Amino acid sequence: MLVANRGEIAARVIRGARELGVRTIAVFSDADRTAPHVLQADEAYRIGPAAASQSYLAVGKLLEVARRAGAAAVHPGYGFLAERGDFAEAVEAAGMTFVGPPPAAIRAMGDKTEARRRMRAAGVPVVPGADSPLASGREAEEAARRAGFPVVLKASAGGGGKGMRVVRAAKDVRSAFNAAAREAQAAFGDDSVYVERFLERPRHIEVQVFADRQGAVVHLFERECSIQRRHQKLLEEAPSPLLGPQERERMGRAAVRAAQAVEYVGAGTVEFLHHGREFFFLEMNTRLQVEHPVTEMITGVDLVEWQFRVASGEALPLGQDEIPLRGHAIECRITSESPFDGFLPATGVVRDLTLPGGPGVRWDGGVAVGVKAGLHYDPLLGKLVAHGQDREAAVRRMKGALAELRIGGVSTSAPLLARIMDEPDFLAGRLSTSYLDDHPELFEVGLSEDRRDALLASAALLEHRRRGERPVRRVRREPRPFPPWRQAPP
Amino acid sequence: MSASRGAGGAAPRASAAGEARYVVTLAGTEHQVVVGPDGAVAVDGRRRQASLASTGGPGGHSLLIGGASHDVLARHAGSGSWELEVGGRAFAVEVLDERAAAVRRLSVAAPGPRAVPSLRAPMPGLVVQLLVSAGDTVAAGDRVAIIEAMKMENELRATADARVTNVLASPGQAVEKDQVLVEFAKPSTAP
Repeated sequence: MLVANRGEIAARVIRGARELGVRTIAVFSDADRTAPHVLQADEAYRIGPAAASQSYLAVGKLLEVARRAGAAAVHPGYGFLAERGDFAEAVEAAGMTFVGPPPAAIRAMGDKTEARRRMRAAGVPVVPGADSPLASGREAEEAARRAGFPVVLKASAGGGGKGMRVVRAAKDVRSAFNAAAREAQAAFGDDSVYVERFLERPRHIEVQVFADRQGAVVHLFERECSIQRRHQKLLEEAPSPLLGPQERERMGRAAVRAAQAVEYVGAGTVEFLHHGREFFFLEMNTRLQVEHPVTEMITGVDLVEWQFRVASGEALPLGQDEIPLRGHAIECRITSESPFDGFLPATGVVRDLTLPGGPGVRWDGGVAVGVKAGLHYDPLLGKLVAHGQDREAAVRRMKGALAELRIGGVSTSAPLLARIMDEPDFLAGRLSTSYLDDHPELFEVGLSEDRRDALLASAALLEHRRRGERPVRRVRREPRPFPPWRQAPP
Repeated sequence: MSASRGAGGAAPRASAAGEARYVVTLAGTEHQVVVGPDGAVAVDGRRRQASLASTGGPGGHSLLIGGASHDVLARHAGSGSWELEVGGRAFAVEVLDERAAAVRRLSVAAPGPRAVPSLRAPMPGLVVQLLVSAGDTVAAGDRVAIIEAMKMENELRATADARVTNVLASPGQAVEKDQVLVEFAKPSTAP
């Protein structure tokens, strides 16, 4: 099986395939020659320079490598080509199995405006807004006025916050439209953008679904992904801390209807915005999700294994009533960013990597010492996951795991995540997608006296030692008394 | 031998007690750190036993100070400058011996008329758009440039009212962190 991806998800999929005794084939760009997924796979082939457009997005090269290596199946991971119907089609046309949904389902959900129409027809609630892409900045202005400010401009082909802009006043629509279109073109190769009402302080709750080729569809409960920055998730948990069993059931059923409406097969995620007592269909991600481990932790289901089973024609291993919900799981995305410096991307070579362990702790990583956390790809270095018998236990474990995790050489989101673990609203489950904006105190970086003294002492000792190593002048010392310690009186 | 030595010189002259006195600057504030011959370190007068040991990896250290254990990742950044990572956060510190610190204090000139700081790239990335040309005037908050990094566009805005004197980047150009993109003068300054 060829994994058409990189980073932690390539490593995750390779791990799953290996468990099933499948030969694994990695691909890499020049920036990833020594990345963990290359080292872990049975075989690895270069597909081009660092730029994704010439490597991980180069359909022709990927298929050529797959053919030459004799791959029987291609797993797309997430991002890159995972939600490109033409890629899925090309894989199938080359006589290989695409580990993912049918191209038609990818297209139906990948075109966000088409998805909105289909969901409305299937009786799944959608956010008020336009059901077709916008042709110009002027049209965007009109559509925004109709939907009512604030609005959000979104890439029709989008996801993950790319090509997305929130606009609060008519005067800002045009520049936001242009920026969103450019970003959409760069990220997805498609610059069409549509508009929706922007819901203030909603919660982002999504439901994991799974369907087999025989037509069975189940859900594996929800994930709460409200803690986001720039519309990108930072922390996810399952189940949602504030969803009652009835609402859980209603959202689960709506998600199953959404999957059925597009004749879905495989792993998918139906995202909802939860606002007050209502929820609205946001989009369906027709792939394995970054945050899939929290679902695996609470259900005990290996979602990658299920993907392989479904792709090879097997029926779903469990029915809806057989899927357990056990305890609570939290995932922290460890990204190469400077959280206390406006979440600017951070670059650097990973010089130190100490991973946490212990009961209920899991690390899905894509970095190793010596790897350059660079400009070219997503900033995700790895995902730290903690599971406990309840939310409190999971938070305690995550706190401990974050304290154990050491990544040197590049600044990461970890110190901010550690602060969130102590924040009262988070602990009480009072979450919304504005959580980080509502808690500026998380970004006020103080330095405890102990830590500051440790820094100052380290600096002086390091400099003292460095000067001592190249002595220009010898310091004459008095001979030390022996023994150098004082003897305690008898 | 009496020649004065700057940063990068030998260990400062030990006092009678065999102590070495350093001035460590962190975030613009000077701290006095005394390294004793017996493993004691006094930070701003707080004296504790300290031991710094390399953990083997590049720059990895363990500091025990007054019994408390800290992981420190260190990188020497030239003469007395060090980049340290503690608790997942990075800090730049400068270590001078007392004499070098005194010399520097004297040589710091009185601040001149406040200039408008240049716009620097806050991150490595690709210039998407430059929205100003030399001679333009901008108001604080105006968009000046758009930089793409990690597939996200970032708007860079003017921090003060200013006149653009120089545009040093162009669309499509890859820029490093802190690279100067646009230079400004105060808006009243004649061209």
